[in-house]
Amino acid sequence: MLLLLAGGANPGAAAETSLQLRPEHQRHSARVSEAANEAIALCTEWFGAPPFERLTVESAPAGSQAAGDRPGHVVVPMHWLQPARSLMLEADVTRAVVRQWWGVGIVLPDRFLADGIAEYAHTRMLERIYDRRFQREAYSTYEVRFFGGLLPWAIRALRLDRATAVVTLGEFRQIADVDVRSADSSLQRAQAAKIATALITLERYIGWPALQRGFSLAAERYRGKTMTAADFAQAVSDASDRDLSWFFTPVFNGPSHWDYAVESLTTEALANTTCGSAQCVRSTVVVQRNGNTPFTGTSQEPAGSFQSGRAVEIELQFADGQVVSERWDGRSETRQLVYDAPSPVIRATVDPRQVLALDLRRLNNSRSTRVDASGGKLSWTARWTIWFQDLLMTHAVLY
Amino acid sequence: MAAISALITGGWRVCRTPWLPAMVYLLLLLVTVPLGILVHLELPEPSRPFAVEPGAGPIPDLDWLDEVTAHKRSLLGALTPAVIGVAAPLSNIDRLLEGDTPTFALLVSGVMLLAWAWLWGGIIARVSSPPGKFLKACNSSFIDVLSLNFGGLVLALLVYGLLRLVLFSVIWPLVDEGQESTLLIWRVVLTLLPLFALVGVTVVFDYARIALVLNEVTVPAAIGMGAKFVRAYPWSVALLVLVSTLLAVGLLTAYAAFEFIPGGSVPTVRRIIELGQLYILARIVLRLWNASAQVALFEKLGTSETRN
Repeated sequence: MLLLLAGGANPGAAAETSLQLRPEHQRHSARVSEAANEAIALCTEWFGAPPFERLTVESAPAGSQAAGDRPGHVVVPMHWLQPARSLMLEADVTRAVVRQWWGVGIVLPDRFLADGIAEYAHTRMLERIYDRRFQREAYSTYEVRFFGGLLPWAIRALRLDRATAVVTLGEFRQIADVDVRSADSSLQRAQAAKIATALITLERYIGWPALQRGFSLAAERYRGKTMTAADFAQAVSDASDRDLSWFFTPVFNGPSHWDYAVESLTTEALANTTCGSAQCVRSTVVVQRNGNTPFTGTSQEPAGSFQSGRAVEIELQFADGQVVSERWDGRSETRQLVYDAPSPVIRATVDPRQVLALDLRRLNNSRSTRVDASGGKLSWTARWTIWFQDLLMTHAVLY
Repeated sequence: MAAISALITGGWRVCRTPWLPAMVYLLLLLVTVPLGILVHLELPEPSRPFAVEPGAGPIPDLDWLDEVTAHKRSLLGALTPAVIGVAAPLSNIDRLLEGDTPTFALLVSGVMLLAWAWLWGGIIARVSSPPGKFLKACNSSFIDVLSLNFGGLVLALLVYGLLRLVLFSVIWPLVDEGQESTLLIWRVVLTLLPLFALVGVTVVFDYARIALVLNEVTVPAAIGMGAKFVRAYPWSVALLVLVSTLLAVGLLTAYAAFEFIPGGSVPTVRRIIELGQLYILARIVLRLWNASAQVALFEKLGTSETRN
């Protein structure tokens, strides 16, 4: 075992860290130390004073069951080989440190909440580490493992952003309507991914400063006490000075899922009508809610036929370059938008800024009369074909 | 030194017939491009344009890929991040070792088994001395080479599969608790043992194929001659295998070095295709070079007993 005092490496860290690494993990001591110090500094900044005076990071063999959290001591499973560009090691360390605040310092009987907050908060930390190391904004470089998981390979062309990392690595789409309160342990990753994705959604909707105040207030209220999911929701609502029950209630209860789509985009020239000096073109866009839960933006019920809330954005791009943004409370199953203008709508997008990270299907979020010319599809086809050619050549070794 | 001489002779013979690798490459394109087109047609348009840096290619959008391939099997099910760059050959080697290949790929591989069985007769005849007629050799030895290749494949997989099964179900559980570094060493050892057996069987059938085409003997006789040849000249045969392996590793390293634009940008679609196809073409050349060197070695060292 290596005992390394790493405290003081980061002036923002109030606590001292020490490492207890197995011999085969000692090569990672600098990375582990940096990640732990970064996590402590940021958690202190965001959530308040650390619930320990000294933190010991102990390594465990990869794949081993992580021991329960205890104050000032985290056990992190690590691989022997870990590419520098893949921050999966740092991800595990920062997750474990976050759980010292949310799970140890504050007792969370709702396991999904502790997992989800750790999953969410660590992505912000990793972005900073990746930026500092590689001068790029990313969560990590994508890592694949071969040979029974023993040999890693970082795919440099594939950098993950925070939301993608949470959604794809957490297998969020595989279990679309996971109930976070289910006791089935096989759902733990998907439950954590759902909560983390919900927090990313909230961050994009109310802004990081407001969400951070919510975390800070919850930490202040419940330090050394027990906090339920409802308590957490109330604290974030109080801190952001708005009722967020419309958002938290479906997230924390039941098999809720969100999916908005542009159902159709049609245009037709209107005979004998003019819009300015040109003939009018009627563009009709139908937007649809496919998910079982609306993303409204308010808990206030609509009055009569009037909408209540404006959380969902619909962006319409016209052929002459104009861009129009509409708002929708996202409650009804469909919403139709009709425009008579000299130019037709060439692209309609629901949630263009991807605020609703919880949206399960993004492919249906947009319809366009123009074909994307970026070559993104073609690059995947080319790569798939080369992969397949190589596979056949590999098989050909046998005959 | 016979192996080195055979390598040089084999290389020269492949250079003398550049249409051979070109033909194999065209065949590979013929089989894979239609499936690539099918994949392209199955892929939906992105909900937002792929981000493109100036002078670089579209940044792979994992979120899009994850949604496209969620709950998908078959062609799209095989579209994973591991198809990017040098991860593709690495994952293919891993798939071969682990016996994890998509069903559609096995079916297409079966078609390629037939195609290679037809080609081998002509290839061996062309790279032998004096060169024989390509089409005539392809047609005349097709059935025999097919039987031989199929038998060799079944035997190789049987030997590899059985050995691997025994080693990984008996020894691996005993070492599974160790450190990852130790685990890796054990896994390498436990993989290499059946792999050596697999290579041994494959090499015997490679020389059997040469004997079959050049000496026009029956399949059982050819297998006997192949086995005798490998037993008679193990070092020369092993040296050829070693050089071929090193060349393949070198090619993989070169592919890894050039697949990415220095500075950290994603390659353009054109660069992906050019580099990828160059890599595949180089693989074919290496495969034919190895076969040609084996023919040269067989011609040089084969005694009357092993040759006829």
